[in-house]
This record gives sequence, C-alpha cells and structure tokens, in this order.
Amino acid sequence: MSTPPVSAAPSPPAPRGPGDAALRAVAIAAAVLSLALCVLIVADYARLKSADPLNSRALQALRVRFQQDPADDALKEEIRTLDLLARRTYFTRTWQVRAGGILLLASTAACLLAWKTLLARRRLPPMPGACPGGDDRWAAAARSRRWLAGAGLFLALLCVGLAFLDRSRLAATGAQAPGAHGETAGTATAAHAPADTPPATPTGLPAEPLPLHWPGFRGPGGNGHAPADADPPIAWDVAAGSGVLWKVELPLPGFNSPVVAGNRVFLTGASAAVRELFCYDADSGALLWRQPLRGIRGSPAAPPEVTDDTGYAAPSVATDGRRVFALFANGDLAAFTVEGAPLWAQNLGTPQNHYGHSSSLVADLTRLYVQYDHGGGSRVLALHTDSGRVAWSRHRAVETSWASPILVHTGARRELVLNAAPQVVSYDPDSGEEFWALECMGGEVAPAPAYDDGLVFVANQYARLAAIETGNGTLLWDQYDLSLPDVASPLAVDGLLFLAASDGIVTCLDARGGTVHWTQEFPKGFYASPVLAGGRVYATDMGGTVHIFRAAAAYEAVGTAAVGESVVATPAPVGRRLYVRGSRHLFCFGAP
Amino acid sequence: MSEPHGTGVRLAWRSWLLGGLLLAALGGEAAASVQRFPKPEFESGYALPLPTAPAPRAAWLEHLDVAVLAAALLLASWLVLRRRSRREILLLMLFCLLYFGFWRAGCVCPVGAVQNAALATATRAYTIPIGAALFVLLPLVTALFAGRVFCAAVCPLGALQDLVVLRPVKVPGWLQRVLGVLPWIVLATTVLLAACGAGFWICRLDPFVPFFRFGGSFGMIAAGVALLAVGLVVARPYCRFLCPYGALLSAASRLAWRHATITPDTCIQCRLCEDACPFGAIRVPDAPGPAPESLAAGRRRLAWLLLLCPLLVAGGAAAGWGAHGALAQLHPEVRLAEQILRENADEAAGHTLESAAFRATGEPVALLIGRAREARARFRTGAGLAGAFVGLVLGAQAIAWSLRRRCPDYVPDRGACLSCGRCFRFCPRERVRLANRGAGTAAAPAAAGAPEPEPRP
Repeated sequence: MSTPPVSAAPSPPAPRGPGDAALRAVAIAAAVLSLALCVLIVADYARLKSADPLNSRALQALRVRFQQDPADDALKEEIRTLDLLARRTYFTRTWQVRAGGILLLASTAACLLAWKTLLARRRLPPMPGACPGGDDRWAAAARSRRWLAGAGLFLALLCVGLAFLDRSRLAATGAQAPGAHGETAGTATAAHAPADTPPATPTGLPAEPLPLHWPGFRGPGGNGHAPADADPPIAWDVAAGSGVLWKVELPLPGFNSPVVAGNRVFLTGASAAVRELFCYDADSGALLWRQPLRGIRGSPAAPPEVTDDTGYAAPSVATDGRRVFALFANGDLAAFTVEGAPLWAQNLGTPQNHYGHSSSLVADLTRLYVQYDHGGGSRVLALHTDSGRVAWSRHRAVETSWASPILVHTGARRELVLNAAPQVVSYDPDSGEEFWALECMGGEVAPAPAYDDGLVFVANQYARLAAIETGNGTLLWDQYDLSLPDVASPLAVDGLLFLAASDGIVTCLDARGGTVHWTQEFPKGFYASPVLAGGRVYATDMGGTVHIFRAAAAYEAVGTAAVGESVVATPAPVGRRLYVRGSRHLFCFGAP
Repeated sequence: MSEPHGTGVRLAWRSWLLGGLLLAALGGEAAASVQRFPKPEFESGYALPLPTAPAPRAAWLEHLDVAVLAAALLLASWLVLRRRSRREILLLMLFCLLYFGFWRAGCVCPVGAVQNAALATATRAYTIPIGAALFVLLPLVTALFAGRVFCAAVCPLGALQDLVVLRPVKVPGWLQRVLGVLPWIVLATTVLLAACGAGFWICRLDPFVPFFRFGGSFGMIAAGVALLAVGLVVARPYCRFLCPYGALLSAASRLAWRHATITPDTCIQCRLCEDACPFGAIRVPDAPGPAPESLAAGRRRLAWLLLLCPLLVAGGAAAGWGAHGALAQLHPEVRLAEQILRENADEAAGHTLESAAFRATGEPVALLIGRAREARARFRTGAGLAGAFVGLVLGAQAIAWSLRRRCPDYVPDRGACLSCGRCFRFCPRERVRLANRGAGTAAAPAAAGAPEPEPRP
C-alpha cells in the first residue's frame, strides 16, 4: 500500500471558543497559586528543618543555667514554657506544610485540568506534513549505536573509577591481619590474646591432632555415646583408693564437664574475677598447663550476674585435637593449642542470661559452633577454628536457653541440632541454612537434644518429650506424662531412650513409639547427663553416685559407685577409664 | 512499592507491612506494645499514654489488592483490545490511581515487588508473600497476552505522569533508543541491591510516593516535582527512561499474543496518526526506494556486533566486579562495619547514630565484620552478574538496531507502546468503526467520509 501524498500546509490559528478566556484565567490563577504555595512550602520546610525545638539556642542556654542551679523553680518553669512553645511551633509548621501540600496538589490539579481542557477545545485535526522523501531511520540507528557505545564506555569508566575509589577497610584487613584496637576483623588474632602471653602463631599447633576420645560435652558430636572400644569401670572405692587412678583438687569452681583428647584432660574454672583453662595429664592427673583469659577486647569490666548453681564456667570446652576452645559466662571465647599456646580470643558480647550462660561448645575439624541464646538476641555462630572469624551466623527466634548443640550425621548429611523454646532447629553446619524447625518446646530449656537412627529427641520439664524425624522435622510422637529432665540431656541408643530427671527418676522408653519400658527411682536427682559406654548407661546423680545399668529394654543394674562429693558435670568415659568432675576434685577411675 | 526494614530480623513483608502499618495508623487501629525506654517521670503528674502499635493489615485486604489488580488488568486488556476506548481507559486509570496510589499509598506495586522477588530468589531466609509474588507476575503474564496494559491503565505511577502530559514534544528517535537502555541498567542495579540484602532502593527513591502519602523527604519530593515538570513536555519520563519493571514489561510485550493496534482493521496509510503518540511508539512504514545502505554492509556490521556481544558481557562482568566495593557501601551492615573500623582507627570524626547504637548492643565487632564481609562477597558475585547483564543488554540493543525489519504499515512499537489508546481516534477507520457501532452500518461511512472498513485478515 503506497503512502498517499499529503501536501504540507501550515496549521491555521486555533479558533477561540466562548469559554476559552475563563479557562485560561482559571489556569493562570491556579498556576500562580501553585507557585506561591510552592514557595511558601519550601520556605516553611527550610525553617522547619532549621528549627529543632529540643536544640534551640535559647532552650540550651536555659538548660545550662538550670544544671548550674537545679533548685531554681522559676527557671524550671521557664524552660517548660519555652519547650512547650517550641514544640507547638514545630507541630504547627508541620501541619502547615502538610496542609499546604494538599492545597498545592489541588491547585496544580485545577491548573492542569483547565489548561488541558483549553488545549482540547483548541485542538485541530491532525495535519501531516510533507511526505518524507528518504528514510532517516538508518541515520537514527547509526546515531543510536554511536551513543550507545559512548554510554557503554561511560559506564565502564564509571566502574573503573568506583573500583579505584574503593577505600574499604573491610577489603584492606585480611583474615589474619590484626584489626584496629583489636576488636576488628580477623578479630581473632594475637590482638585478642591474653596480654601477658606471647603472640599466637599457628606454628604452635601439633603436627598431628590428638585422638578425639571425648572431644566435648557429652562426647563425640555431643550425643553421649563413647567410642565402641570404651569399657570404663563399673566399681571403685574412693575411700579405700581402689579403682581410683588419680584425684586432683581443682583450682577454680566450674560446672563444665571434662573433655579428653589423647592423654590430655581439659576443663575450665572461673570466679567473678578470673577465668582459666586447665589441662591435666590423663595418666597421672598432673596439671600440665593452665591459661588465664585476660585482656580480651570487649570483655565486660564487671562480671555478669549468675546464680550459684550455674556459675561463671558452665560451658564445657571443645577440642579438634589441635586446639581447645573455652567459653565463659561473660562471653569470653578463647582458643589455645592443646599445648597451651594462645591462638585467638574474642568476646561474643555479654549474654543477658538470668542464670548464667551454660551452652557448651561443639567443634569439628574446621568450625566451632556456639549456641548463644540470650535476651540480647539469640543466635548460633560457626567460627573458623584457625582464626576465630565468623564463618556464618544466624539469628534465632528463640528465648534464652541453656542447652548445648549436637552435631550428628544422619546418613545423608550432617545436622547441627539446637534445642530451645519454642523451636528445635536443625542447621546445615557448613552454610548455616535451616534444614528444618519445629515448634514443640517450652519453658527454660537446658537439656541438649539426643539423636539416634534418624530421630532427634528433645525434652524439658513441664514442657514435653518429643521425637522428631530428621530430614523434614516432622513430629513423630510426644509425651507429657513422664518425669522429664530439666538439666540432664536424654540419651538415645539402639531404639531406646533414657531420661534422667532431677527428681531421681530414670525412664527408659521405646524410641520409635514412645512407650515406657521401665522407670527406676533413685534417691538423688540428676543434673549430669547419662552417657553410654560399653553397652552400659552411666547416670551420675547429684549426690555423686554413679548408677550403672544395661542399655536394655528391661532394667538391669550393673553396678553403683560413689564419687564422694556432689557431681553435676557429665562424666567422660574413655577406654577403660571414667573421668568425673566433682564439686572440688577431678577423678579418674579405672585401669592404667 | 515496598521497603525492607532490617536484615537480622525477617526481611519479609516490605511491601505489605508498610502499607498495612500506614493504613492501620490512619484507621486508628492499635494494639498494645512494649516500652523500649524507661518512661520519664513528670513532677506535674502527667501520665504518659500507653504506647501502641498498629495491628497488621487484615489478610482479606491483601487478597482484595490482588483481586483488584487482576480485575483491573482484565478490564484494561478488554478496553484496549476490544473496546478501544481511550476515555474508558482513562477512567480505569483514574480509579487505579485512587486505589493503588492514594488509598494504598503506592504500596504494594509491581515495580517495588520486583525487589521482593529478587530477594526471595537470592536467599532462602526470605519468603516472598504470595500477594507480592502475584503483583510481579500478573502484569507480566498479562503483557504476554495483551501488551503493556498495566502501564496504560493500572500503574499509579504511570497514571500520575499521564495526567500531567500537557504539550508533549517528540524525543528524537536515537535519543529515545539510547535512553531506553536506562531502565535495564536500573533493573540490574535494583535486583543486585535487593538480592544482596542492601535494601529496596527503588522504594526509598520512589519519586511519586510522597504525592500519594502527602509527605516524604525533601529529595524525594524534589525528584517527584522535577519528573512531573519534565512530564509536562516529555510524556511519562519515568515510565520510558527509568522504570525497571517497565523494562520487563517491554520485553514481555514484544512477545504479546495480542497487542493494541492503531487501526481497527486495515491501515490506509493516511499518516494522520503519525504524531498521535506522545511516547514516540508508532513505527512508520518503510520509505519507498532503495535502502541507504547495502545489504552486505549491514551483514558485516551485524557479524561484528555478534562477535562483540560476548566481549561486552565479559567486559560488563569485569566492570561490575570492579565496582562491587562501592556498591556494597549501600549495604547497611557494610557501611556500619566500615564506620566502626574507621572509628577504631581514629579516622572518623566521631560516632554516628548507627555506630553508637551498635556499640550499645554489646555485640562483638567480629560478628559484624563477618556479616559485612559476607555481604561484600555477595556483592562481588552479584555485581559481576549485573555487569554481565548490562553488557548483554547493550550488545542486544546494538544488534536489534542493526536488523532490517519490514514495516509496511503504521503500527505500534510493541516494546515502547504503553497501550494508552491515544492513537485510536486519529485513525479514520476507527471513526468508521465507532460510527458503525453507534449509528448503524448504512449511514456511518458517509458520515465519516471514509470507505467501509474491511475485516482484518
């Protein structure tokens, strides 16, 4: 279809209708009003920004005078009057700006409406110009490409300029570089090491890691199972000394449990003033070294308030065979080599915990996991064991808790499972992403989870006992009408679940169905968590008596032995020995 | 649009919550809340009122928003494709301006909801609300079927600009094309910032929201006034040269199953519609005679551009990667960490409100540094990808401008056409159609002075 030729003709002047003059007058009046309002609003806005009532000079001068003479009631009244006046002025101007804005909108709309109507009335029919002789789209496309190239070049130069202008300190401080004032990135270098110790270097690490016999609270992964070759003693006599390999007095109090790697036993002790990590020879009980934690940046000057039954050193240490990590109630976290050389230290922030922080640490070969649930903001952290740098950190929508994490392998993957109210959450230990979460817990949660054969078990007194399927976090069953623990963690093994409650009742249940196999009542309650070793369960009550029974669906006592002092820490069964922390001593029972 | 309110806490609900809070505040709904700071004690006996917090917006109202959007899109499609009525499109546009603009205060809207979608795609920690997801998807799906009818009659930002178009001037074609790349760059930057957790910057810089809410920062208001002032003579400058969602709609509209047409049947090439579009979205038929460039030369250039395209992608990735540090400064935790580090090194003039608040929390600096480093690492990857995307867009545009496309009639440019319907009445065939519809087929052609329209093949 060809384009019909259209002659070029100038547009005739627009005819004026009877209402055009009125419309034009409305448009001009509204435009003038809009302009005036605009000027007024901008002026008022500027005054509003400059007149901060709380910081007016007159008011500040009066405040200074009042500080010098607080008893001057007349001055006080004058300040109040001026303050009220300033506030009224502020809010009046705010109202004026808002009302002016609405008026401006209305007047602008009126102006536009009048103007557009005027233009519509005077609009002429379209009159195409001369028929174009050539096609100028080629030239326009070529010009567009040239400008596009220019725009691309400009963007590239802009990016290069931005790259050169990047003076980021984050980028400048490397992972190992000490940060300014010692609390910055890489936080964890010598800048945080105890002040009276030489700078830490990785060369202090042993070439070969120590065997991880009992590397943290409740053993490997925090699940309460001793290695298969463990065969700890079932009887000893402290008074007579039979079966007692050694016994040493502890320098500082603490409720954390002994941790064993190779021939070293680690534990901590603390008072309001000092915090120390101890290392004992597993064969002789000799104190190999002790390291105080001092000079850590961010460490609070005053210790947090803790209760007597939690203390300042409730979290158990963790070790990866080369390093040992210790956490205290004030948030101080430190890493040392197993030989006692300081590596790094930092303060995680004072936990707002009304009893005192007690969650123990869990470590694998590269990461240290910290459950840090407290009133100031609950979170879980994974730190690089070599530097203390944060690998990942996740905020947690949970209440303050005292439970410890467990790190288990479910067959398909590793899961870091944390128990707290209201949620039990499983995290990917590598990335921190949530695998699953289930709202099933309540109260003040201290017992750690237990794991066996694809099921996670959580319990808390006055809340409930729940069995959760890993993988999707589905509730398999739950129980309420039992004597549930409020401190000791459950123990799950071979289809059985053992609970040791603080009222002295030990319960054995079917792990799959939740039915009770047996209950056994003991004179004293349990704070120490039951552990499994050699097919036997070692349940230590608060009176210091270790009750040993078969891990079976029918109760079968194997033995009973007394420590001789109260015990709340969980024993560490290693080989043919059992390491027990009493209220004053560290014991090693068993054979050499 | 929508706006985030933090990272540690759930970043969700940017769009819905903001609108909900505003509405609830206006409605006077209140619920008990917690006192954050100790109350001052007045000697005069003045009793402080109890603090209140607005209740979240009712779920059914959120569903209503989606229902209104869906209905408006359907109605707009019908009006553009079947009714071909500019007046009715205008009425729908006014309704949507009142509903999505003034009543919903500009939030939620698809332009901002793109950021929700980007964040939800980037992290599993954030789940996009179903309403926000639908706000992103529905206009796009509609564009695949009917073109940019969302821009025509539903978008409140577009409506505001549309109403102030007074004496539109024709932007030169080459300039319009080059400026048309800007929305893609804005889109890449927006997605990058949202996906990396730096916040929803499109919402923070939205120039029109202050009009809907009768208030805003001076910068936003000034930007809005400036855009509307420009809009008096350059129609819809934000939609054409800035809107990131418009870029997506433009791409979808090119593939549209049906699209608005200038003529209801056959173009008679009367040229009456030539200047009808204030957006420069009408394609003019090919001029008679030979092309000013040989086919061989055009092919050579096309081949060079095709070869250049991967280089542009690689160059864009490198440029983006290089700029990631500066872009990361837009992330609040990166900015805070840098400030803390400067303060610790005695390089800062003093504390900022943010750094003082952070120090008051007692949180270890190491954690902040760790999070900031993670954010920078995300920006490193994200900025590289965004740069590569921009490079691809530049290359694709250059290639598109080098292709020979036959255009025998006056037709809308599907990417640029906003389906506003202004051009309908310029077509004499449309007048015939209207006359036929209103007065009967016998008298209409004579009345319109035009031949009887033939049905389109």
